Amino acid sequence: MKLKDFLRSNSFKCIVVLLVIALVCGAVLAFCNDLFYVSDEEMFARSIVKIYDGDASELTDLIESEDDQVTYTSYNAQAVILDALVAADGETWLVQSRGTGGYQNGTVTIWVNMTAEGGALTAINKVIVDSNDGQTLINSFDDDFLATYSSEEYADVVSGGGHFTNQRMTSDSTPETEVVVSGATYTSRAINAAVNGAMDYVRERAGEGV
Amino acid sequence: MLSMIISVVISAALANNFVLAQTYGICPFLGVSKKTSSAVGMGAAVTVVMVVATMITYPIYMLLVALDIRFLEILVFIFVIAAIVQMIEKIIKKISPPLYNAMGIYLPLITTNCAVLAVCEITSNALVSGTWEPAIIAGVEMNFGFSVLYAFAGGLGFTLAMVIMSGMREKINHLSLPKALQGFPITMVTAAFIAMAFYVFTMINLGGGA
Amino acid sequence: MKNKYGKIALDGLLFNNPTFMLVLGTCPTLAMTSNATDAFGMGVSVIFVLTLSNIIISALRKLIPSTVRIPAYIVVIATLVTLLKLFLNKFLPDLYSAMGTFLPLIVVNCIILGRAEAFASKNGVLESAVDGLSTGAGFTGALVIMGVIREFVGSGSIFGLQIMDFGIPFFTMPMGAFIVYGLCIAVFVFVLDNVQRAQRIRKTRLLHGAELKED
Repeated sequence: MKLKDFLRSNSFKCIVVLLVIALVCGAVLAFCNDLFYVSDEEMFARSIVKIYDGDASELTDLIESEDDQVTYTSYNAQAVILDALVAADGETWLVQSRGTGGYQNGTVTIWVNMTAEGGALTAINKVIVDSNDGQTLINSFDDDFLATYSSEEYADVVSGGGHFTNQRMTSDSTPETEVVVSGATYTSRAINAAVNGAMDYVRERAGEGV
Repeated sequence: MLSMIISVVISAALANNFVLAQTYGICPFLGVSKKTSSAVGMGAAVTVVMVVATMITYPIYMLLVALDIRFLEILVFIFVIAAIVQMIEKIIKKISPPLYNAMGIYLPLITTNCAVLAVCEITSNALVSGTWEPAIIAGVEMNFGFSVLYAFAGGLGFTLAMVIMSGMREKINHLSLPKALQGFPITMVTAAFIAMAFYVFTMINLGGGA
Repeated sequence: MKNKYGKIALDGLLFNNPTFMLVLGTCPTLAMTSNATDAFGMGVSVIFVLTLSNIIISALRKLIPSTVRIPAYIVVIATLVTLLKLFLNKFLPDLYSAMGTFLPLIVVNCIILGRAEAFASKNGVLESAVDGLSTGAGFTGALVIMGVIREFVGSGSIFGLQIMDFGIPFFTMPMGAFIVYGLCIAVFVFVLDNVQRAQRIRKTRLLHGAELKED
């Protein structure tokens, strides 16, 4: 009798309506989640498209697990090479590098497209910011800023084994091996470290004749 | 440890103040800041809800990831927040009627306060796709304890902004202004000046080192 | 009949413009207008969620008991926002990452729950759809106006197109957003006030003229 009353009551109706709505919504979402699923490969291909014009499937992946990741130190910040791809001719290099020492100890991850000829790094073609954490001023480092790394002006620095820094650290370094890019913000320190790490990686690996 | 705590508190309460730097929770900031007493009540209520919501959504999000139903995150978060607000209202009403009179009337408004949902999204790092990875704020990995601390400090920052704003508005109300500027426009411009003052806190580099 | 829809649309676009007249949904307005493209993306996202939630809620309005209507509305809105999130992540990843936390925060946008409660729960499906579209369009229009102003003054470009070589980065930051929003409301209220006053004066004159003729 009591159960019957409950089944007829308004609160039972409320519970049923809410449950039905929630179930229908959950089912719709589950279906659409499968429909719109973004695989890891697709995420990876998206970053590659931004940095590389050619066919991504012809690239060789040099870093397949986290054990292969290497760290480079330049000035007072580190760069971790997260991923590296090289074209079949060994000339085009795509390196994903994470620079540390950013604002509030955050990091900036970039992709760098570089050219190596005869086992030596010759040019930076393009730099893009992939992701960052907590870098509130990241919008100041737009495409115009990132283009300075691949500009004619600094071509000698790239091919001559030089590095980028956001402030001159050592008094004996000469302009040929060190250029100052941007003001002394922490974010630019992380970006510089990441670019330096990517360059060092290619200098080392291209020399080994990969 | 202590430096990490200070970093998180300064980052959440001042440098990345929820209202003035990240523009979350603007509706109560404009709507309930006419009097200092109501500003304090609203601020306290928001702080309590933010802390409790973070404590509950953080493990729930880990569960969602473990069950591979991350797409339900928005649905679950908003429901948890609505339930918490209802429960806190009932509990305060039962335990302490004076406290209920002071902040209880603001509680129903909090369900649609975006600062609460935002703190759940930020601390659970729900936006980053892929596997479970804690967010990094001010160079500190957000485990459960730090997430709750972040929520608490964020609530304090929200209260601070509300109190400053209400103090200013009590003065502004006595000014004779053109009709078009009265109300929201002059409040917005005042908020802009307070936000400018708070911008100075982003110059503090927390744990970055020189 | 046609006039009714026209009035609903005009209300949503101008006289009850959610952004400038009612000052609702302020958080995305401040956060997503640092450039016109993001502002437009946010506006279209809200049009999508608002129109569909209005249609669904007005279709279900006789089925949902009034005691549980708010939770039911929230579930519907949260589902639509999740759908939008999945869709953007798949097809427009750039907009998805630009919107960041403000994409899930569409759930707590007061405009959507406000229209569901104030309009869709009392009116038919077609009216609710028109209301959702026009309110969303009013929101989008306001966001794009602010986005264009902030992007032009802040970086000298409009919709990413570089027009002039200058920029005051202040205006692309949150404090610039507060100032631009405040001034936009002031100008909008001022203009609309004057237009309405002019209309009133014309109406009373017409009325007066008609009375004179009758005499």
